Amino acid sequence: MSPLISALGLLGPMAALSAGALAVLAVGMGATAARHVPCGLVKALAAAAVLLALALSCVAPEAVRAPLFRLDLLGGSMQMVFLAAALPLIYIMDPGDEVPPALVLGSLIGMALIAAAGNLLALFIGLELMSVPAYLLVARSRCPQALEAAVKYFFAGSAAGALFLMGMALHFSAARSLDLAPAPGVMGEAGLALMIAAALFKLGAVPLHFWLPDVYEASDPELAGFFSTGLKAAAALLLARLAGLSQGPVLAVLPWAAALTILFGAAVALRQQRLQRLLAYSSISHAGYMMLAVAAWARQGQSASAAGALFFYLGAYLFMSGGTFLWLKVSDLSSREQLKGLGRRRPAQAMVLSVLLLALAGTPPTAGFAAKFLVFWEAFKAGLYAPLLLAGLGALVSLGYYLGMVRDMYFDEPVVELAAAPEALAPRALVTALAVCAVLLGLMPWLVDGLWAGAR
Amino acid sequence: MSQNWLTLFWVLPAVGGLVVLLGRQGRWPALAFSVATALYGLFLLGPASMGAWHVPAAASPSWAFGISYALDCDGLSLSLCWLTAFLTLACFIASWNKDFSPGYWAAFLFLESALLGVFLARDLFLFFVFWEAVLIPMFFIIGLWGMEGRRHAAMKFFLFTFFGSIFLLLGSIALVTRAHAATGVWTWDIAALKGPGGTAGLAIFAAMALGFAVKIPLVPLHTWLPDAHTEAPAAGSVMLAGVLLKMGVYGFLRILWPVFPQLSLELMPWLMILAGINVVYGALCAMAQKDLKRLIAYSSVAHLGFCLLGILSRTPEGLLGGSLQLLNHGITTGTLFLLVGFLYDRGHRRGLDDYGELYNRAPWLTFFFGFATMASVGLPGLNGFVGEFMSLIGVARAMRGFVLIGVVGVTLSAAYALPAFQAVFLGPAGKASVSGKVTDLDVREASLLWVLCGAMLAIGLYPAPLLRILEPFLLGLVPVR
Repeated sequence: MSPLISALGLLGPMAALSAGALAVLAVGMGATAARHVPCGLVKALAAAAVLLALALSCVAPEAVRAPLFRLDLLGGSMQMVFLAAALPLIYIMDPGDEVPPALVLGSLIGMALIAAAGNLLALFIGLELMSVPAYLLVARSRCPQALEAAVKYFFAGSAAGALFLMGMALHFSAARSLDLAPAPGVMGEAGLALMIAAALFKLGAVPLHFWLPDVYEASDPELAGFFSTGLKAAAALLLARLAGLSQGPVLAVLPWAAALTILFGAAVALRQQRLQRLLAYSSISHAGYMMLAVAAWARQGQSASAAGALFFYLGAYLFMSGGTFLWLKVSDLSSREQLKGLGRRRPAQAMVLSVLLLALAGTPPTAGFAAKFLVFWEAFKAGLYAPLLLAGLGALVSLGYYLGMVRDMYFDEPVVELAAAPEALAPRALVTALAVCAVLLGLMPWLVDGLWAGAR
Repeated sequence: MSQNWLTLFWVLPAVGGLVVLLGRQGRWPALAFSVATALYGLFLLGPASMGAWHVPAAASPSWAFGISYALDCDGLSLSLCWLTAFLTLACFIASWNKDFSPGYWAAFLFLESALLGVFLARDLFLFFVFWEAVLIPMFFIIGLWGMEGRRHAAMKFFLFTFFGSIFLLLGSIALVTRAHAATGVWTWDIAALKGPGGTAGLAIFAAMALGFAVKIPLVPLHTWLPDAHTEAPAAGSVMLAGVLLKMGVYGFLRILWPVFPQLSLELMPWLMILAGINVVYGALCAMAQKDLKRLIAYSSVAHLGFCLLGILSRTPEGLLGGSLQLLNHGITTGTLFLLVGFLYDRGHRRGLDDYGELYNRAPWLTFFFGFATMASVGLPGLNGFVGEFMSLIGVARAMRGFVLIGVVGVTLSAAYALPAFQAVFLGPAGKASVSGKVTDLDVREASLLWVLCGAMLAIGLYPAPLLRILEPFLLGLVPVR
């Protein structure tokens, strides 16, 4: 492969996203004179930039290494996930001016940097670049508590950044370099633990999840959907990059942290009445499965099949969780009480949500089942028997609210008056398409098998 | 002979479900598709009895991760598929006069499709997917068209089975991974898998057995069953008792016995004790019931224990008798649930004390109910007797002491079924005196029951053809002693 093509695959996505962000901002500045920002054009530009980046991330299928960068299959595949996760957000958001699309692109640049980072410093820059626009996006949400949540998010996120920096310092003192390579001794492992804590914070793992429910609840649903899919994909990738450096102790703890996260998220979600908060806790629970996949991947010597399982989990989750949050946006519902009797009031919407919820719960033949199955399998191969059993029980607990919502929709009488459903057809079609994909992917897990087999 | 013929078998009702759901037409297409499926099942007998679809493991290409789409149909599968197809058809005929939405008919067709898949699948992963897919239509059947406690019962049903399924899945993953470690080949083909020995084997066996035990259901995992059966609509109870409970025993036969030939023999006494508890405890619980549906539900717990006893013995008589009893219980208990449904349509009550003196108001209802009760109790000449008797012979050959449990079970079954029949049909009119509302069966209901009771009598008098269909696979499970 020529160096040019390699460079294109490695830096092309970031360049495309940066160019898109600048173009969006330029359109906005040009339009301030006219007092009216052409939102359609801005969104189209942003979407075009993301699509171009997506195309470019398919260019270099084989591993590339450079001093500050490297690209491998795991990074490239995760990049596809978070870029794809941004598309529905950009499509459905109602920006008002050019800033939100630019912020989304900025956050994506940070994620792309995480995907291509070959060095701890680049990882850190990516992490911060990903997070800062996210704080601003939360602050710009419509909910009255948005600003409060954004401030909370910002302080907690800064603390995570500080943890990462401290870990980096310890790592440097042990290894005398910032390369992505194992650092010897206690100091190295301690530094790694601090950095992993920062990654777990971004992923929303228990007990570092405390900011997440408030942030998800105060964000616009489509934004929360992006956080739960795109941001989680980037955070899982960050976690994998760091877990791959571990020599032992951290990897011994990670599966148990995953099991705790799965069970805690599911147990707390059971008690939630507000849908967005419920989905926030459910996303915490799902983050636990991602952690389990990462732990299995690292413990099996970074096997390609475990990377495939992680990729498939996030790919499936993109459709399921993204679809559910978008459903909230499209249906304009916010509490579990409003779901009661929805099966008779809005049959089509109830059907779509039921499919998404059953997929999230992991019932065959949906993508959620295939994803959980692959993660379980990899965890078993890695010998994580006890955490695996706890993860299985977590899936059982999660049925309590996923299936409970289906029950509310179909088996209950309506209790509250609903406003008329919004009429917009295109967003509804998008949600339906996501739900259909959440089923079809479950029938085609060989896609990921083939991807990985082809790449080996 | 390609597998497409078998694929058509389970896809046909699924297509029917979609047609019904999207076409917004309830009864007629549903009936057409279920008749077509049932007739197609009969047509499959010829090739299946010659072993036409038995594809060696290497022949079916892997789909991903060693998973292959492998279907096969032998006598055991075929007989259970027949049971599924004909009971679905019976449910449709029984619900014909109800004004249900298209969803009801579609749900039964989807349920039928998933059940056929369970009985046809020869790949562990495929089996599991069908196994889980059964839950979704049943959840809606109970929750949407059930009685007053339906919300709770539907959830309970789903959660219990899912709990077992998690262990079944983890056990399957463990089994496949172990087999790969031993042979170097990733395969999910049931025939090619052999369980490991030692503690690992025991753990895998226990996990998978737990998954099947919830479905059978083995005491103490049975508590979902009375609720689900009682709250489900009549046709839903028919499918639950008639077919869904068989999935667990089928799992023992199809998966655990071939995969763990040695271990299942070693564990026989312990499993026998569990099955014996089912027989006695289920019967005692049934004796205490005041609700007709709950009574029949608990009797199912006892009868399934009986099937399991026979199958556990791993003797030719026991295996054949237990498998035959699976079919018999499906026909008999399905009929009883249909009859309770007919009774409920008229009197809107299910209590034993609410009825009485029905023999002169509804002679045909009384006759058929009595007939099915006798079959359920195991009267010689009717189907229940054949299965129970053969099971007992098998138990006697394998573990002599356990015959006593069987005898106690048979006796107790008479002790709950006959008083119930007496209270509802022969005794003095009940306190609620709803007997006045009960009219006799109409032509549709009566003709359906003639067919079902005729089947009971036919199997009771001449079981040989069915046994011949069942034999090939089952006799292969008998260990060489």
